[in-house]
Amino acid sequence: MSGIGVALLGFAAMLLLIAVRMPVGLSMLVVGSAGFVYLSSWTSFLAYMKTNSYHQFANYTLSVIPLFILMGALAERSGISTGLFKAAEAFAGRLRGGLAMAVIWACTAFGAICGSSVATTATFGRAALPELQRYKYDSGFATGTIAAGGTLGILVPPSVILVVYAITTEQNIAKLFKAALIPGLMAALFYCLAIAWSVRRRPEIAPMAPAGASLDRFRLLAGIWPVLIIAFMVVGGIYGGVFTPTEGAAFGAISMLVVGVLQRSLSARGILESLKQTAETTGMIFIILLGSEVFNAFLARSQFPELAADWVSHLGLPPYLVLVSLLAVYIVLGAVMDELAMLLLTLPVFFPIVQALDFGLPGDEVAIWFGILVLIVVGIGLTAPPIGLNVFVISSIAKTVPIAATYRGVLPFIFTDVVRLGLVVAFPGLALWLVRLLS
Amino acid sequence: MSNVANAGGSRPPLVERLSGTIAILGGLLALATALLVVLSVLGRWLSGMPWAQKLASSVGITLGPINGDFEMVQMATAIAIFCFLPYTQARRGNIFVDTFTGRLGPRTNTVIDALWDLVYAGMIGLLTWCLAMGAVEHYRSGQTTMLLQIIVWPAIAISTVLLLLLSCVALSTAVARFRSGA
Repeated sequence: MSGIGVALLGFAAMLLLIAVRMPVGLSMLVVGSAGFVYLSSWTSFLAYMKTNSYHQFANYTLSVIPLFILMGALAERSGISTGLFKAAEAFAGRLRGGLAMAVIWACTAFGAICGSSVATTATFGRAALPELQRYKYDSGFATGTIAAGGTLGILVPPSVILVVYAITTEQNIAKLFKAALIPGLMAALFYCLAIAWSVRRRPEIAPMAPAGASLDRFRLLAGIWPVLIIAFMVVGGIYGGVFTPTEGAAFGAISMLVVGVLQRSLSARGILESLKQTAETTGMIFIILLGSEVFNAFLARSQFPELAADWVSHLGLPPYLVLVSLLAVYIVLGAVMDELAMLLLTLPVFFPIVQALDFGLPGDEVAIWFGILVLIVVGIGLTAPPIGLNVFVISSIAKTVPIAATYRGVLPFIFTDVVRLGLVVAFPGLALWLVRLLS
Repeated sequence: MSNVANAGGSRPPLVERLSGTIAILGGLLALATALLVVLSVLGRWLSGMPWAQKLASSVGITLGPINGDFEMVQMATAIAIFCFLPYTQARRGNIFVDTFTGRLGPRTNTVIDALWDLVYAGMIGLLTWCLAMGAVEHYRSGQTTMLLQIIVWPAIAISTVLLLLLSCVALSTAVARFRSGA
């Protein structure tokens, strides 16, 4: 059988195994190993696996992932999300739908400390949902807002998804973080517009909250300024080249710990819980990373990625048509698959294709721009039916709200995501401007 | 699609409880790594400031980034991640897709999950064996890191033991699932 035949068979076998509940990382590991042995030999597979797992994990660039997760877990346990939400509420609470907008802005600020959308959704599900329900917000509107707000965890840098993209495609993490800022802030702004539109159309979904005393605002800000400064220093430090991403994450984790202990918001128990949570989330990510490493070693031996890129570039299709088709594939895959696994599986094939296209931009700029486009479609995949991880997370917290109501609630937000995707496709400068400015 | 199934109410077996303790040790190692990196960055910053350098040399310290911090971070990160993996399995935290098997009923699904736990235990068993070979090879060659000349094999040996624990945890969750499904 030719290399391409084996590769296609490998993809099919893996998808089949995933469909019958085999954990995603394990199926990549099993199929990758089998394909590797078939295309080379047992001996070379054993030689490859000898220290591969150790050397893959002993990687300075990858160390940023556990550190960012640790920083987010400490932030989550220190209850900072409640403080951020209360402060945002004090500013936006008087508008109709203001509480929902407060969720969005608090998620944006939290997204600058936390690189995970699931963690952001879970923490605001606990911090903000009871408040929204207390003011009799429509339940699907409330859960939908939080599920959409949760995506800001990855849309606003730092972002675990961007780190994984950077490592898989050998791009600069700091540049990707710079490129993500404007589209990330656009997301927050567009989400607020979606809220404004929803409450204008159906005012009954968002009853007015009683006016808060304006004095409160500054007292509330006093409680959260250390965290805002940490977020600013971590992201700013990485942008300015003061820190490598690993250094920024380490600084963020240690300062979150210090602030939490000093403010007495982190107990010894809370610290232990955040360590355990870090362990579980990191373990989940690294098994998938290990599986994808083996699967990609198999793919590389089949020469499928180069041949596919070669084939597509010789079709002579307009570059934008290819790009939009790839993004469409991502939206479909993202609707039914785990986003991290989706990226690790597709990037070895899709990235060379994109690199072979001519958009009138330098190759490394195309790589950064494509990373941001991928980040936006991942955000859509996290909330879109039938399988949106964020929607599942919020449903597990708000057990009384039917999942269909939450899916209806996220629709306006997904619509703005698609608009934003179109804008960043049409104007690469939205992603690249800041990268050019700061380099 | 991604779900974290819950284990039964009874006290989990020893290997699963052990994995919780080891996860916390791994977490502490990650925290220590973060502290090392922060100290190294502080050293680098302060070494650029004449007053700090003067102050430090008066008490006999030379300021600067920690030598070879890079190598220590790599080694510690690898061990920390190997510490995390058994706990993720014990908590059944690995991502899987349950969209297409919903109709089969909880019992069939439990048996399927037990089967995949067995496959996982076997696959990780194979990786453990490979890594053990790697550890032996590094021991024989006496390979060290570039800057600090830290011998590499102990880190690989520790990782091997942790992988073996992961394989045992997967075996243990498989047994528990077969029991509750059968």
